[in-house]
Amino acid sequence: MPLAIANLSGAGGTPSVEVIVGHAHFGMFELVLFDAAGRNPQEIGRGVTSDNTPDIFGFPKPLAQLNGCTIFWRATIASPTGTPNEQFSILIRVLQDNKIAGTDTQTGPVDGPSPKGFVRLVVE
Amino acid sequence: MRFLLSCCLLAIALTVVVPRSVAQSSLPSIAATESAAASVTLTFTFPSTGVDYSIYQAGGDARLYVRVASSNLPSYKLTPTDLRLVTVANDPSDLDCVLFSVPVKRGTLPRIDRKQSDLKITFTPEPASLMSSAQPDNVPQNSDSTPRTLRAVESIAGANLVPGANTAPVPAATATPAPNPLVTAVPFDVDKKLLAFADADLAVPESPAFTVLGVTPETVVRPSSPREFASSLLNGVDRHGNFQSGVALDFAPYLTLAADEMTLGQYRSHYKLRFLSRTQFSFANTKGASDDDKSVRLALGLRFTLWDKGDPHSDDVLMDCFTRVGSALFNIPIPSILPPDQLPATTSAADKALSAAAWEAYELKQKEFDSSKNEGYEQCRAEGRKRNWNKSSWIVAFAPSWISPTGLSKNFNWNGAGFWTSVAYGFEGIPSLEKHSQLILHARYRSNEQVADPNNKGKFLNQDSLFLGTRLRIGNENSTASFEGSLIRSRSGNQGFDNSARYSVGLERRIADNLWFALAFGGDSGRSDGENKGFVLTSFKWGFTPKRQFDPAPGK
Repeated sequence: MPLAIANLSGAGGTPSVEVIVGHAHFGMFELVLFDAAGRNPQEIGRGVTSDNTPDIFGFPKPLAQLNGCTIFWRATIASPTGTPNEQFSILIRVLQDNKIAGTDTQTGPVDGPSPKGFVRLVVE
Repeated sequence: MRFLLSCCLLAIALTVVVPRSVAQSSLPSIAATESAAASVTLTFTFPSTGVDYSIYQAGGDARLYVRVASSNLPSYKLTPTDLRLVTVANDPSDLDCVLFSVPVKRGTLPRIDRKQSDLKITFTPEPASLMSSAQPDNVPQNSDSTPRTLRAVESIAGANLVPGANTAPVPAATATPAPNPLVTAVPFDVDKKLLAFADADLAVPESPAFTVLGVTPETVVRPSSPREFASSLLNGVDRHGNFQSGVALDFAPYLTLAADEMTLGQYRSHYKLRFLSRTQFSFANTKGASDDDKSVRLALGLRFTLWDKGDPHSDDVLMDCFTRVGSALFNIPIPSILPPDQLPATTSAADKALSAAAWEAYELKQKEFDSSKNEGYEQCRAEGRKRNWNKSSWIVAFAPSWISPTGLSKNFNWNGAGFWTSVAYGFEGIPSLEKHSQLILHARYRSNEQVADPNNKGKFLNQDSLFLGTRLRIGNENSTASFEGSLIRSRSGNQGFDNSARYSVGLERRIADNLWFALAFGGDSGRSDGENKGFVLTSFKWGFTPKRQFDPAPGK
C-alpha cells in the first residue's frame, strides 16, 4: 500500500490530524500512531461523522517525537440513501499552523472494501 | 560445536512429523545433546508485561508452538543466531492469533522463564531417567519470574488462547486478558433477519421537467429530497388524449460536483448545505406518438426542498444503527507492528515475517467484516425507510419549457413556465395514520402554455392555468396507492376562465433496487368545452449515481 507523507516543521505549532468523509456519508473511523520503529501503536482518536464533534485530533506524542512515526487509519462508510454505484471519499489530512502538511485520500464504491491507509510523519 | 549441533538438528528434523494445519518446515529440530553447552535459547520480547500466550507441543511432540494474539506480537531472538528454526504462521483455528513454532526432538524438555516482558525458552538435554519421572509432576507455575519446564500444554493469562485439536487440554487460566487499548468492544447486535425485497429505497420524486409538461402520472407532486441522479421514462395517453413518450434526467448539482468534502456533520448542522444538496436540476423532452400530435416539448426544471423530515441523513436512529454495524470493524485488533512494506529498512527479517503474518490475519478479518457490512447497513436503511417514507416535507419548483409543434428542432417556441409548491403532511404523532398515510397539498401556476386551438386545427393558443390539488397516499415504503383531486382554473387566448376538476387514482410500486413504476388513470369533469377525456399515464423512475473511477492511491 503506498505511503503518504506529511512534512511537519520542527519549529512549527502543535500538529493535528483531521478526518473528512465526503458526500454526507456516515463514516466511522479510528486513527492510531505507530512509533518510528513501526511498533507500539497508540490511539490518536476515533469517532463518527454524524455527530457535532469535530473530527480533528491531536497526537499522543509531542512534536519532537513524531519524526518517523506512522499514522494508521481505518474507516467504514455507509450511505444514508443507498443509491446504486454510490462512491465514497475519505480524506485524512495532517495539519500544522492551519496549513495542510500531508494528506491521504481514498475513493471507491461505498459497498466495497473498508478503506484504510498510512501516513508517515516527517519532522524537519 | 555449532556446526555439529546444526547437522544434528537437521538430521532429526527430517524425521519429525508436523501438523498439517501449520506451515510445513524443512528446518532442523532443536534436540538435546550430550552437552549442556549445546542448549538452544529462544527469547520472545512482548510489547508489554502480562501479555497472553500459550505454549504446547503437537505433532507427536515433534514441534513446540507458542501462540500469541496478533495484537501483541513479540519480537524474538534465537541463540545460536545462525540457526533458522522458527516458523511463523497464522493460527488456522483463530485468525486473531499467530503461531511461532520450532521443531524439537521427541522428549526434549524445554525450560521456560518469564521475566517481565520476556519469555525465554531453553532447550537442554533431558536425561532419560528424569524424563520418565519428572514429566507427570512438572506442573507449570504461575509466577512470572519463576523458571518452569514444559508439560504438554501451558497457557498463561490467556483463556482465549486455546490451542488446536492436536493439543492436550489447557489448564484453566486464572487471569483475565488485558483489554486492547485500541479497541472498544461495541456489541454488534443488529438482527440478522432477511431483508424484504422491496425495502431498499424511497420512491424517486417526480421530475420537475415532466411536471411542467403536464405528463407526470399524478397532477399533485410529491415533495421529498432528490436523488443525486434520476431518470424517468414515460409512456401513455396524456390529458389531451394524445399518446406521449418521453424521457427526463434529473440531478442534484451540488451533490454531484461539490460534495467530496461535505461531511455528514456539516450537512446535518447547516441548513444552507442541506438546501444546496437537495436542489435538483432536470431536463425532459416528450414527443407525441400519433399523427394528430407530432409536437416535441422540452423543459428544464429547478426544484428546491425547503425541508424534509424524512431525509435519511437527519435520521438519528439510522445513524445509531450504522454505528452498531460499523463497530464490528473496530473489534478487529490492530496488529502491534506496521505491515512489512511500512517498516523501517533496518527491521529484521524475523520481525517482517511477524508483521506479514499479523497483517494477513488482519486482512482476513476485515474481509469477513466487509462481506457482511452491506447487509447490515442495508437493513438499517430498510428500517429507516419504514420510518421516513411518508414524513412531512415541503418543496418549491420552477420550470421553463419550449415546444416545437412540427417536431422539427428549428420550430421551437417558448412554451411558458410553471411554478409550484407541494407540502406533505405525514401525520406525525397520530398512531393510526403516521405509518401508512401521507396527505399532500399542491398549488401550481402555469403560464403561456401552448395548447391546441379546438376551433382551428393546427393552431395553438396561449393558456394560463392554476392548479389546486390534494393527494392522499396510503401504503408503505414499497407500494402506495394515491387518490387525488384537483381544481383547475384556466384561460386560453381571449376566452373566459374555465373551471374544471380532475380526479385520478394512482399506484406506485418499487419493482427493483431504486427502480419504481408509477401508474395513474383518471379524467376531467366540468370543462366548458366538453372535452372531459380520460387519461392513463405510466412511468418508470430510476435513482442512481454515476460510477466513478476508483483511485486507491493517496491524494497528492
